[in-house]
Amino acid sequence: MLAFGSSLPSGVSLAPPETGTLVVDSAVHSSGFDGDASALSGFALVDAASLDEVLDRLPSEGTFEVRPAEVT
Amino acid sequence: MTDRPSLPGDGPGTSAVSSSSGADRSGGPPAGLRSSAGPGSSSDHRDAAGGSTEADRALADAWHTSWSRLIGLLIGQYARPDLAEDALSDAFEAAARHWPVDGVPTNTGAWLLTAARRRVLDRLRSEAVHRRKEPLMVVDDEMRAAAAAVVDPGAHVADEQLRLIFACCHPAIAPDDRVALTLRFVVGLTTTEIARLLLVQETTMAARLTRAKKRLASSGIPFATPPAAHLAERLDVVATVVYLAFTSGYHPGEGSVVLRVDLGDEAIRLLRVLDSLLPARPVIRALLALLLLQHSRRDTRLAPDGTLVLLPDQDRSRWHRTEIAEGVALLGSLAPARPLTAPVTGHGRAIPQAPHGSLPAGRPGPADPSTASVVTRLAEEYRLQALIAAEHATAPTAADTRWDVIATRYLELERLTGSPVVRLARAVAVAEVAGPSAGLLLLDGLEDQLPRHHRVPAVRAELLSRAGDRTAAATAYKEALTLVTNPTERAHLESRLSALTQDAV
Repeated sequence: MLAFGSSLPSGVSLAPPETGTLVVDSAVHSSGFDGDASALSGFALVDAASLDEVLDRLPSEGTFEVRPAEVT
Repeated sequence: MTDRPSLPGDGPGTSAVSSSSGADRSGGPPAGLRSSAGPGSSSDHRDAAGGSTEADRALADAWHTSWSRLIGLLIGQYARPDLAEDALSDAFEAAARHWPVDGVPTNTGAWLLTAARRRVLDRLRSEAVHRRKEPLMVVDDEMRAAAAAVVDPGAHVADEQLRLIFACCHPAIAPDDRVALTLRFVVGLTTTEIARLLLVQETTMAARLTRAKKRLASSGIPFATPPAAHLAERLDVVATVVYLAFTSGYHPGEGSVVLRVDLGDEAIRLLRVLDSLLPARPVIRALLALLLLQHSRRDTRLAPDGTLVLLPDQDRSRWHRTEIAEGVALLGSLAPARPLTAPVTGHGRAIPQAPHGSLPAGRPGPADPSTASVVTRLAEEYRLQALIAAEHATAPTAADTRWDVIATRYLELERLTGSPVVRLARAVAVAEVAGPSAGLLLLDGLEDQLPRHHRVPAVRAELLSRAGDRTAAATAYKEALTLVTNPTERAHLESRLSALTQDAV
């Protein structure tokens, strides 16, 4: 799922930016990333029970923003 | 690539964020509890009602023993930290009204739990009417069922208390917010009290707590004890939070603020809870030893007029001996991370240290030694700091202090951390052992590494003055005075400077 611009796949709504957790090379940060300054290179929907489960599955390198989402 | 996980399983609330109903509440235990703070702090109308002291004592007891358990149980059951907090505050307020009149219930924890649950249900019902969607915390079904089944929080195994601590100290929460959340949810302090303790404006603290609570509820942070593979690293985060909470209780010059709690006591109490729930964790035991040893000197740090009393001038007979003994005993149960290089001295009061790899003694052993005995760098750091504190605490007089041992510990600590602050402390110890010029050598370059730190020029000034270079010492004191912010320390530096110039005349 790449380059879909600002729209999300239908049926997915993201939680607001302040719920985001930034992960840079496995280091967890308390706030989401700067959407204006960072280029979004991709998007993936992960089925996980909690943030910790997602953190465990992220690659050890790279920058990620993790946000809860609702799928309807 | 950006991962955006979905977090199903918690109903439609997971991704909804609306204004938190608990946003502007300071919450917390009611005024009745504050009477435990000391003389003259509250409970006027209740005195007239009679039996108030018993009720007050029961309230204070319940607050100490049950607050975090009850919050944990409520979050476990309803997955709503905001409602749990408000409901429990309300329950304590109701207790403050009813107990002095109706008598203290046999089981205060059960009474409070029932009252708080009723409040949560009231709130949930009114929310349903307004169709509000609040974020939910991630709580597994098993926990929810278990929490809902609890009637007596005292008889319950305090698993949810541990979950609460780990949730408040989650790495996805900003470090400052972890401290604030822990003081609010785990210790049960009010926003006002936290603001005073952390030296920020109350409005700022209220806003910060609101934001942090929202994050706690809506970012997917699990209400769970971390799996074994992550436990050591997560426990380090918890320990750091407790340490920050402890040190924020020591602000010389803030003595005029009357609080109902001593943050040092609370931090130590929290560590005891952690030690009972997760026995024999090196980082918890080392920090407990360190805090006990530092806290044992609490009554002698400030003179009656509020001025700072330095370690050599403190009245050692007023140090708390039982706490020192406990701290030293704890250190004896902790194995060093590597062989020791401490010099052997003839003082005959060696701080006991377990031989390398030995099992901790004197306390219940870990269920699984292979994971429980993970000694992280932080655990070793706290252990070395505690060993240094123990040297000071066990020296019969200031002149008997084994500075050679302390200098060695600081060397180990500096090798471990590379911290310029540790080097500064080592310079002081080395100066005691080998004279001021040896200490001064270690200060070289520290001003660049700690540019805004008044203690660098302050220590330099002290050592220069001991070395007889008064002109340079005066210059350094003046530099320190341009950097110092704490009024108590400023007064101390000013008196040193004026003593120096008077002697010179």
